[in-house]
Amino acid sequence: MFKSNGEEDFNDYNGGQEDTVIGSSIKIEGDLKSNGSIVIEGEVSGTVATEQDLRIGDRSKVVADVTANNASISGTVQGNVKVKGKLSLSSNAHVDGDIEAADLEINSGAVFNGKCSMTEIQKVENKDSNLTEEKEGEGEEE
Amino acid sequence: MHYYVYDTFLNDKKYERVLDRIKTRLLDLEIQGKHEKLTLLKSLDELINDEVKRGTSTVILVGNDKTFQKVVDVATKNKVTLGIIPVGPDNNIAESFGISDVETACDIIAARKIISFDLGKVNDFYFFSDVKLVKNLSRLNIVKDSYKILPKPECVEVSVSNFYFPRGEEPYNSKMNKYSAQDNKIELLIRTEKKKKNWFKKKQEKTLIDTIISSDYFEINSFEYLPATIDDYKVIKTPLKLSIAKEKLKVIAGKNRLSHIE
Repeated sequence: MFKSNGEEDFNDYNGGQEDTVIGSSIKIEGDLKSNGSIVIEGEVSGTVATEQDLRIGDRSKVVADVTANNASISGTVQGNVKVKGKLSLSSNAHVDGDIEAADLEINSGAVFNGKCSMTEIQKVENKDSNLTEEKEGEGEEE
Repeated sequence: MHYYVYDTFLNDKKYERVLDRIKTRLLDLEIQGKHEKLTLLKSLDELINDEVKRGTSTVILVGNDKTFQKVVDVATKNKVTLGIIPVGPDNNIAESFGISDVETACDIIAARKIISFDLGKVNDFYFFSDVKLVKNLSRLNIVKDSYKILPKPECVEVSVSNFYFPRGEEPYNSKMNKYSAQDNKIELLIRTEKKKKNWFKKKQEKTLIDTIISSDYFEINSFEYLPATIDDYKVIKTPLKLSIAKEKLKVIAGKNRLSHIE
């Protein structure tokens, strides 16, 4: 009875400590924050912030500033997107706002209107303590 | 000393042999106690309150999931330990605790391995499984931390779940493991309807989990008073304040319980 037969009742997503799944049947208003990964398939207005990964599905509409570790966008985002790691825009993505990421992938067909800022990660070796430090450099492209 | 409570449906003659097997096994294991059959005239809450005053600390329920769910609130408020002897159909909760049949149940009671579970709390009432709303869902607004969740008309069910187990044909997804009754969280589950067209069969309707949000607190408000069902048996009205009560319920469980139950 408790064995999975492979059918999924909800979207598959990468596991985090507390995964949040916002389906297409609801609307969120306010500041959506989570310690785990977030999957958005519905409507969100306000802000979205997570320490983990964010996935915005192709049926979703997000009117919010977005902050995440890594993000994958397939729907509509009206707001600024700030990602520490990789940001991927699929061919169905539509982003109106500024984006900031260390690693950026924009697929053919994606629509992006805004400024793009890339954060560079440089490793500096410290001979005494053998620690690596990260320096952030910014380059702007329009 | 244990207090054994037999649910009303066990008065049916078809359960006589099973009840005899239970009593024989309990005698063999020398687990003494007082046995009481529920009737329409006797309230379960009053019976348990009275027995607790007489010094009972363990209540063994003979019945099914509904028997267990009905007792959770009064057992928690009286701080008694619960055990289950599953009889008849609809025993998902006992099965998830590793209790498969009456003989195994009696052995588990004798072994007395006690597990603590979180409970959900809705207003002043404790629940084990979930609180469900099915009517006028688009008129609800659910508050969590600094944001509101607004269900759309296509939602068919809003539930806040503490202990999740599959219903009927719904498959148990391994990812739901982390939404257990020991994670100090309750989960908001919103379901929609999915209609499948099949050339050979008629349209199949199935409810799917569309939204999952974990928290330790939710508020459910509405424009008017809407009914909410607690553990499929008690009905209360909105507004609802739902929170988690950590490790509130003690249950005697078996070794073969679900892997995510510690």
